[in-house]
Amino acid sequence: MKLKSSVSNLKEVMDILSSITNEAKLEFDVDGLKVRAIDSARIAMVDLFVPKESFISYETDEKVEVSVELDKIKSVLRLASQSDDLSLTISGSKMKFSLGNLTKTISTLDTFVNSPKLPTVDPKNYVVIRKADLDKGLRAATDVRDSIKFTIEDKRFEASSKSESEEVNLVIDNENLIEIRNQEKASSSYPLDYLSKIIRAISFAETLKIAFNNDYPLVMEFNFSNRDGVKVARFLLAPRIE
Amino acid sequence: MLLSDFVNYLDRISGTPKRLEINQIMKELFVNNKEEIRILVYLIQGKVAPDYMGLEVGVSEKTIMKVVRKLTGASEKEEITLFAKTGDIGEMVEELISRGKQSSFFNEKITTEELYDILIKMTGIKGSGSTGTKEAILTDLLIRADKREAKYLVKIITGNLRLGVSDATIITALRMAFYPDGDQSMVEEIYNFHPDPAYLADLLIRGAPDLTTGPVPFIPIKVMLAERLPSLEQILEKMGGTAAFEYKYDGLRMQIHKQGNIVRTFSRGNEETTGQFPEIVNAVKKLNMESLIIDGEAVPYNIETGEIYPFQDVSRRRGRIYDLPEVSEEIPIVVFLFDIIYLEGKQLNRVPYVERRKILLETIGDNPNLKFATQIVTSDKGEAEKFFETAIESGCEGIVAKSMKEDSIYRAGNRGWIWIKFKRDYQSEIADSMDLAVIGAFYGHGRRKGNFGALLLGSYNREADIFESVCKIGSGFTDENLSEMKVIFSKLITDVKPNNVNSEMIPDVWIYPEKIIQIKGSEITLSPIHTCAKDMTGINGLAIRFPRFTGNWRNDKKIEDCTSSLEIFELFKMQKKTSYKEDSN
Repeated sequence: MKLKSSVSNLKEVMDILSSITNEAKLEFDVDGLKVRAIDSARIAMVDLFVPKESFISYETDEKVEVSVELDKIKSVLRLASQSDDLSLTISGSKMKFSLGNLTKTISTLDTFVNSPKLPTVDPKNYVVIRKADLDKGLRAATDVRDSIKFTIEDKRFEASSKSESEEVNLVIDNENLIEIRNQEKASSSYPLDYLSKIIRAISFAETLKIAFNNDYPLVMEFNFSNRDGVKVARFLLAPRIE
Repeated sequence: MLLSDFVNYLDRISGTPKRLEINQIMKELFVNNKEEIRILVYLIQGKVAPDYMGLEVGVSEKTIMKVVRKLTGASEKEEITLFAKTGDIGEMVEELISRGKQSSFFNEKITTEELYDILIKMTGIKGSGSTGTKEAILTDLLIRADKREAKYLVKIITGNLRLGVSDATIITALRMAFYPDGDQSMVEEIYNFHPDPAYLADLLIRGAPDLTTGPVPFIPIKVMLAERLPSLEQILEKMGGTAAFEYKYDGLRMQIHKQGNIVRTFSRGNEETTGQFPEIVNAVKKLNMESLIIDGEAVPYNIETGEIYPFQDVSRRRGRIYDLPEVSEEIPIVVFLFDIIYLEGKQLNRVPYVERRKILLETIGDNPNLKFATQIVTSDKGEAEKFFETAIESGCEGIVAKSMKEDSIYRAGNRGWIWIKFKRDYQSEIADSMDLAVIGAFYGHGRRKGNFGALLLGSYNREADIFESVCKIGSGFTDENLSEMKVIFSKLITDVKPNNVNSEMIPDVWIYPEKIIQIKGSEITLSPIHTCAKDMTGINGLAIRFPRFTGNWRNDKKIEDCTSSLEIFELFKMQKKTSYKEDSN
């Protein structure tokens, strides 16, 4: 298996994955790179696909699966600048990276990291929101409580957080939402630290699609950077039942 | 089995004060889950292995509270308030989780087998980074647990299960389940030589209690104990005219095990004490024997003058691991040996005393740290009395008579009439101190305001497996004693009467029986209020008059080894006999 990619392309994949875990199984098949990862507490999942067209070049005859420590790949990426290109060759349990005249080989993990099954989520309610708006809500909630409550009601989206002494409310109405589907009132709380980490890891997307029901997992879909066309990654988060 | 099913049993056990019902519930649990009996026997005791193995899960309350905050969003303040209110970390966790908890994808139910494996794994996680690893494991467990499972999980992990289930209760339930028509004394003997109910469970399930049961190196036994009688005359009579008499040293009982080049020592309560007595360990290492188990009393002793120092000087060494060499030079320790029960692969517990003593002398030889308990053999009361006087002058607490008969075997854990102790005069006042369980406390007044001022004490009724109240004690405490009590009992205080306590006197707070206090009293009397030995006397219980604290907490004893109701009853009878004699004079 061999590929060539821009550093920024791979960096975003690694940032998103490492927002929830340090170990993941990378699947390179004939269509491209697939990763499904879950954090150790099984609270959050990431499901992403980087089509082969997103790479400068991509060659494989068969499906190649490697489990890796993400920090090791990130340390290779730190040697390059964002505009560099980087080649990767995988043979056996070795991953060899080439950056101009520099090569670095790392070992993969002896055991496969399990890819989780995705739960089926069919939300009746979702919003498409600007990332900057959500980020503002999360930052405001940080000192108040370690969870945040999302509500969709009457064609508006609300993010709120409340403690004994403080309260924060971010309301985004229909006009300021890019899209909304609101079949019934939905409200659910989620752990704030997971949300903050994923938002920081997403660099390309400007809008996010957030779907949820009452006390139900949250599914956040966002665009994923590539060279040709736009692909989507998904982040799933288990609710805080209150 | 599923943890949730196991938790149902735990709820049923902690919900009843009736011992018979507890036996039934446990029998049902064991019969229905035979294939994992070992695990269940450990978990129901809230541990992962017998105490002498020294395995600890090693998760602090601080770590638990941190994980719970992360999963429930509770604040530190909320936790502290709730902890103070419930007084129990398990109940605090249950309450917080019932208010809301982080959910997760793929929640597999926890099984007891998995939990046990995880706990064992945690005992091996040590050193830097271990806290983080344990935190991750705990997070995974608590995220999957419902509030009831979480409550018991936390209680087990922190060693605070406190079901009121002693080894005796477990053994009774095991017998009911797997050996209903078998010989009870056989089962007890197996346990006394191998005090691990899980080991016993294994044997009973295989349907073949081992007739050749006996001591095995590195498994601490329940040491043999002595009965008491008020006069040497009675003792000689009971022994059939002649007996061996040995000094009864006032130190720490010590069993020493050797196998190959490894030597380990254990306390009376079967805790390992190897690290605290390096000079003894080294002396035994040098012995030219491949394997042995010997029994004796460790005493601080001046080899040059032959002087014996007070018990407290040894006690100070317990648990002080770091400055040992220094202390060891200050107070040399000598073990006065009086028995050998295993030698070169052979169990000697069924060999008669006379022969065992001979083997002991031949095996150990002359050694500065290992001496023999001074002994005489006599049938003369006057000679025995003289021997007793010399023992007291030498700093001993009395003498022990040992039967010279063929049936004078080593009976682990038993207080039979094979050994009988004699301590000063049993007439005017109870000469012997008593080690009683603290079962309750009363708030102090005046100068003692803000602290506990008095304690409610109980004796252990072995038959009923319950602690019975025997006195309220407020004397002998220093101000320091009183002020440290809140700390000593902080984790044992409960609002409701523990299900293994029988008391009609209601203290301000109940205390889960775990701590043993040493007291002296003047007299044992009948009492309309105390419940000690009520099943033996008939209508009234027994009480100790004018009890006072000796200054010793008996941390070396297991709670079930505290003074029993039967012993107090025997003392009461003895007292009556002697006072009758006085009257007739």
